[in-house]
Amino acid sequence: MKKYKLGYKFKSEPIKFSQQNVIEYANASGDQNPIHINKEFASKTIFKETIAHGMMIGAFLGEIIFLEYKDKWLENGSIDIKFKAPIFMNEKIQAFAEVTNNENQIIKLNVSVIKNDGTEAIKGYATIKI
Amino acid sequence: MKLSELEINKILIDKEITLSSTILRKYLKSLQKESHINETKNLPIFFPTALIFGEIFKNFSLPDGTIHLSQKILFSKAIAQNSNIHAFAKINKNTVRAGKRLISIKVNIHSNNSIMHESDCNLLVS
Repeated sequence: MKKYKLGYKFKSEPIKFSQQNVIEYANASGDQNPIHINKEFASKTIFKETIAHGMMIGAFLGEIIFLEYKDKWLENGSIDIKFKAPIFMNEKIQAFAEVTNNENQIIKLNVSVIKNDGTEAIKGYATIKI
Repeated sequence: MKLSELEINKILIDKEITLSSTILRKYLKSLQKESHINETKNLPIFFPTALIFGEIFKNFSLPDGTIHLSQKILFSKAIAQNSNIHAFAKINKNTVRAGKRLISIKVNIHSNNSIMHESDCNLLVS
């Protein structure tokens, strides 16, 4: 199958997360860290404004992989990501993935989330048993 | 109590959690990925761990300026919507290096005595 072959690439549409999305995420997950939802608090941090939860952007990346591999992705695998840069409200981002290995019925993907200015916000890899 | 004051191996959570589809719908709405729920009965990979972290952060406060450095999740079985799982989390590392505190949290998710997800989270406290 094409999507299991070395070099196969896919990406998300560009997306923005609003403060409302981030508040909804905080309410659903229970992670109410004020750096994500309180503008006044965030203005006193090194970021100067609210930022999206790392786990929220990781979850977005996970959903992009799900769109490609469906339940195979949810059944057996791994994801290992580093949060390299904050994502601010309404910042345009895009997720990217490429198959970099296919051995012993396990594919490896290099994954990233890139901001509109080219900054890499998330970098890592995922594996899926196929 | 602050997470940064906790010793290695301190248990942060050890209890049953229901992964309800009501919360899942809200979670997916925030991600603008509501279609997930129509395509599978299984949960998104990050969802159980996100709820467990939410529970931990309700009980143990994160120091101001904490940054999420990395996240690793290994999963050996899909978890269905509305499942009851057993969540276990502990402090795996709490060290200071070059004036920065690194906290590592290990989370295990079990169901029917078999492990479903294992995850590691690294936080940097400035």
